[in-house]
Amino acid sequence: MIRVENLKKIYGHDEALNISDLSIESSECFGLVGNNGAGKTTLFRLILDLIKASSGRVTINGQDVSKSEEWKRYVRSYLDEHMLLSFLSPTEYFETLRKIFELSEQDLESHLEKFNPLFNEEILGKKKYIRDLSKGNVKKVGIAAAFMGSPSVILLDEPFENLDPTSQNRLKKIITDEREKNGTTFLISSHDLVHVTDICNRIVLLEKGHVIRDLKEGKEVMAGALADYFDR
Amino acid sequence: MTPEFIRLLILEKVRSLSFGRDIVSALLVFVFVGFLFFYLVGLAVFLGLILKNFFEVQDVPSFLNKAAVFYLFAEFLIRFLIQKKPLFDLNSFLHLPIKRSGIIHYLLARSLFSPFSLLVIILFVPVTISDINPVYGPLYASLWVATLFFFSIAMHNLVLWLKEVIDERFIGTVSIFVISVMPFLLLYFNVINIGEITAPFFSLSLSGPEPMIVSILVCLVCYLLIHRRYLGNAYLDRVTKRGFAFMSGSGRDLFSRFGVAGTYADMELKLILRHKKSRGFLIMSLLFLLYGLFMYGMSGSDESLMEASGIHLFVGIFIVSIFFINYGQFFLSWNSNSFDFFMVQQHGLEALFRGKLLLLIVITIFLYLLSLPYVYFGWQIVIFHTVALLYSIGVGIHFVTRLSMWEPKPMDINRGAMFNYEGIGFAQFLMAIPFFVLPYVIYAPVSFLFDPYTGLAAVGFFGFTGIVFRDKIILYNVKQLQARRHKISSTFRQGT
Repeated sequence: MIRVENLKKIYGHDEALNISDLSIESSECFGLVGNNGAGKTTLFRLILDLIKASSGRVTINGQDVSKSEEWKRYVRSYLDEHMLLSFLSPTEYFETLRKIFELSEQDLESHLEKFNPLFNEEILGKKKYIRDLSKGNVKKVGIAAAFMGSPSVILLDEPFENLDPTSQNRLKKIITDEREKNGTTFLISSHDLVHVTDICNRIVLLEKGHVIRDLKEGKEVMAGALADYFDR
Repeated sequence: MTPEFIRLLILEKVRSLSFGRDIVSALLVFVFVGFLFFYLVGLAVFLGLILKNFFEVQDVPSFLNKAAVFYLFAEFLIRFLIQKKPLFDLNSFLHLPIKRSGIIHYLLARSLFSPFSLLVIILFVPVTISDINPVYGPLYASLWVATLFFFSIAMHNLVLWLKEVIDERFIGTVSIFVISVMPFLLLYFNVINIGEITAPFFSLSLSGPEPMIVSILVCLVCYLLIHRRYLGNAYLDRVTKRGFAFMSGSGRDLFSRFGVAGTYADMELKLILRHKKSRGFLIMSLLFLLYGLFMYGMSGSDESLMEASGIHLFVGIFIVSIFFINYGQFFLSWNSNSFDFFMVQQHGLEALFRGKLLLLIVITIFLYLLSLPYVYFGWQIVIFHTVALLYSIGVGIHFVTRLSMWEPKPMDINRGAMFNYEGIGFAQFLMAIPFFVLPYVIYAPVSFLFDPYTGLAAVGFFGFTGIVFRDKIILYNVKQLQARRHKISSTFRQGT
């Protein structure tokens, strides 16, 4: 589904990312872990064509992401607040997206219903702009937007960060449900090893821009390998 | 603690984003500010001579005594419009183990480091030396300037206090405006000259220290006023409180009939209405509608309107397209906070571009319609404004949008518009050319060879051609934008 070929990103003299070959299959839940500066966000930004690769390319269903826009129809993401329109209220934001994605009002309604447990009545119908919400609630808005219009790929950068424990568990359930029902492919980066090993069937470990581990062996084995690495 | 605060103050200035801005724009802003300063100093140095020779003032000191109060009212108004609240930096200090009162003393003291504080010194010291000193001696001359200076500082604190009390309420702002303009109106309509009433007070400072003591006391009272007010309000939730105005109008989507571009135009309209800087530009555009009153009101007859048609074309372009020069110059910077949003939508950049164009054109036509009552001064004005409209939306707009892609800068759009140079680069200076130079490249030779009407028709026709070929031009510009998308988005991501 997603293929990374000889991808390099260099800032000045510093190599931020160098991945020779990486394929992500359809309906995989792909976890990305690594310490600060390992290149997780850089990889996501390259996949989304937000930054220009120094060399190499990323293809989604065979299309080079920097040369076509077709893939944007079924790939959604939430990396940070730059992906929101913070001067709108959450309701207005979802409504705007509904028009852009050409969904019906029923579509939007049933979509938001799915997120009601996560929103905990703090998001919708409140007279507040997104920019005035708390960090956790901003993240919830961004994540809910990334699920709109039944995409086949969803990229989430640190989705559990800033969420309370209840919300973290509810989000995990939403992700698992979405995978079971629609076979959605997920790419999730996180520092929370427990959550990532819980929901992902494959975990890639980045260090200084290189893939140093590619784990597909099942929950216990992955957890063990990650614990070994991060306990150094 | 004080030396540490001073060190922080210097570091903040040196390390601020605007300090490290690219050199060209910094230089241009510097030149602009330098010119202002130059004129100000020039005015100050020759103030005595100007008063004596041009206004035929016999006794300069007694004239200054009368004028002082008008100066103070004018400075008050300017301060009220431009001066910033210093309290917004509070959150970087509140958690530190420093007394709240001390932090506020620091913030207030820091706010004094502004050009305003020197205004009295720059403007009045030269004339004091040249005209007051010879008559009253150095001691009383300095007492006179000091009185004015302390009043100026008092106003600094008073304005901060008033801003706090009024809290951007419309009625409050208008009444402050009316109060500070009132002395000038009363003088203009010969009702009463407040200067005559206050002159004895200022002339007293030429024979004793009492007025200066009064001004120092006023200054202290104002300082205590604002210090107490800030002390009571120095909590984060008070500082970061933002209004939820303009929410009511959000239900209607004005542009939805225009499809996807319409959705983006609606979004952009919300952006304009919900941010201080863009709102400022919108209000400024409405105020500039009045510009015609001065220009057209002066020329008496139809013939003189046409004689000065070159100037009036300029006035027309100015009135019709002021919003779009102001707003369009930062075309993409307005969206610097959310540029990634458009990057990840399918054809998001193109839709953003078309949506913004749609909105700009609609607002420009709206301003054109509002300007039509000027027909009262002569039917030719309709020609000027129509030509200006055709030119602006046919040609000018494409130059502005194209130039705006040239290294746009990120911008914090929650800050006010006045004297805010954020987002300014070299491209912003180049944008004056398509509006104020290019029309004349066509108009001047044609009207010289034939007559002004033909000249105007040529400019209008040029604009009309642009409207006919708009699809091709827009497509070309969208391609340019897409080619630059990575560079632009990474600058925006760094900035905010």
